[in-house]
Amino acid sequence: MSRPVDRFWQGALGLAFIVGLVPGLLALWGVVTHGVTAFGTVQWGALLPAILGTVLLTLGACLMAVPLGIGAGLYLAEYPHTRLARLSRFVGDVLGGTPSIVFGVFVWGWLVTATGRFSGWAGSVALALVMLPLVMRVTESGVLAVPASLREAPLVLGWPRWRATLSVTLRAGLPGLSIALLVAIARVAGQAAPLLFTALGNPYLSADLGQPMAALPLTVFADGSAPGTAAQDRAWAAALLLVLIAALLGIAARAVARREEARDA
Amino acid sequence: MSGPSGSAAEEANTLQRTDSGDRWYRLVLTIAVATVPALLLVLVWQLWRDAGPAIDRFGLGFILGSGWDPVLDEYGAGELLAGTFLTTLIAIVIAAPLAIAGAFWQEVFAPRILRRPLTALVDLLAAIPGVVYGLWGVLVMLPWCRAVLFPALQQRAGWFPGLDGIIYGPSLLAASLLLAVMMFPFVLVIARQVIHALPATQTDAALALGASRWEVTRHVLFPAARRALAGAVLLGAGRAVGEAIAVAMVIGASHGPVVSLLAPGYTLASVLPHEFAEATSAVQVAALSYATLLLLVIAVTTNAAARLLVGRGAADVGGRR
Repeated sequence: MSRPVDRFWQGALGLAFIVGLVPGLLALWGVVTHGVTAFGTVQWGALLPAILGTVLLTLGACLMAVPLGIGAGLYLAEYPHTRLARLSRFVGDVLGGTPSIVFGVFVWGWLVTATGRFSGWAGSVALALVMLPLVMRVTESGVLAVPASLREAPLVLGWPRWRATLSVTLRAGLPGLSIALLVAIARVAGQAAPLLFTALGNPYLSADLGQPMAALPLTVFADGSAPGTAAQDRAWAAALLLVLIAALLGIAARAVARREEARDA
Repeated sequence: MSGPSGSAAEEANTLQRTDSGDRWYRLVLTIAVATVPALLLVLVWQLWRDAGPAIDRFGLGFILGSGWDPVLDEYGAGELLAGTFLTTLIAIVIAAPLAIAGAFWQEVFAPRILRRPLTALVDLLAAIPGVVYGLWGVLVMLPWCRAVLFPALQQRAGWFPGLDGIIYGPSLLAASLLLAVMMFPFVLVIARQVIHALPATQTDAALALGASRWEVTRHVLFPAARRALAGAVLLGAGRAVGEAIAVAMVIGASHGPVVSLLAPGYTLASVLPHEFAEATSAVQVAALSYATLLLLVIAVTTNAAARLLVGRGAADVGGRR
């Protein structure tokens, strides 16, 4: 046992951690400071369409991806060894690793050219594609995390499988599932790439998903590269809002997880 | 079935009597799960159709072909591919060792009271959207690179291939650095989960035999985690390959052969935000769709390889711990 060697490596690994972390912290610090300043000067009327758009687009994506993803995940957990389950699990991993801009291009060709216009719905569909594999995978692992004894008890009582799943397994797995959904929402709300060729952006306040729609990530992308302090202020403010969304959803997920741990203990 | 075993089978059947609700339940779930492979099919088919004109015109030569000329309608993805490869490689070389070393530090050495806050911080950095990193990159990092980092780099290491020429600011190197910043927390989170999931028995045994924490890390944890850590790095690479927005904001958006890392360039993914919506001819749209198809193939291959190494579960970022 050589103490100096030990201490050297402990220091080296710690240093690597700090060196890697600092640029990210600088980015976070930059967004927070610039964003807070921008909060004071920015014209909120100009940001409102993007805020509303992000809420609606994300909601639309949840509406599609959550029921479908939970259904698919339940199938994987209930009938894990069928050929369809194996195939879907693999394809889910493939879709999960697909760059989100690919979904944007795909939905453009699939829906935007077909309907002849950019729309909030097309944007929601593209976001739902980012979300679906995530929801499916976490539903499966969430159900499998429920103790088998709990899952099987209602079956022993002669309950049909659907009732056992809906009223026992899903309820027991609910905290885990809700954490995963929060993470999925956080992941989707900040995506710009799937929206560029689908929702497109819209300078006017609009709640009509049939029309082009603004979104915070689109504002950051477009205004960040635009000249002028007014545009840059908008971009910083929108960026800070996105970071706040990610942070709040992360904190919420952590809180659910901690409550769950406390109850299990 | 007939004979004596028939009655047993019948009995088993009555025991597993299927409720008609169960049949509906299974049908609904089957439809839900079947949409997933169906979607991939539609995705590939649609991209293939959009890319059709370019595939007919340029064939497989497009993949390594050079030149990107919307006026003459001549396109090749070779230079985009080179940009993707270079930026991803540099980002990995910088970020992966730091992330893995950092993950071991966090799991093995970090003081107990710091663990929770540091984990929360790294998780937050991993959850910040790419477009936000892009904004910081273009408004804060780029001016600093142009004024401080790149001149200093050129002065000290100008002999290194790719570090010569004019300093623009927006460049392949700037994109690589930004990707490295983004990749560090992403790889660290996965690497930490990999290390965390290792069975404690060997660690405990080694500690009981008097091994120090570093010896445990070096001789027990690292060998056991090596494969999965390689997978974590590959997952990061897949992310970097597909990152379109942040890269598009700092890479300078320029077609042409790679002459210097300090010169503007393009990658497969970052060409799309700039050009797809503004494409002027049908052939250009098709060429961009072809590039998208290529991007899909590369990202999917990388991810599939990564998942084989990591194994399922460990890559559930944000899953239950």
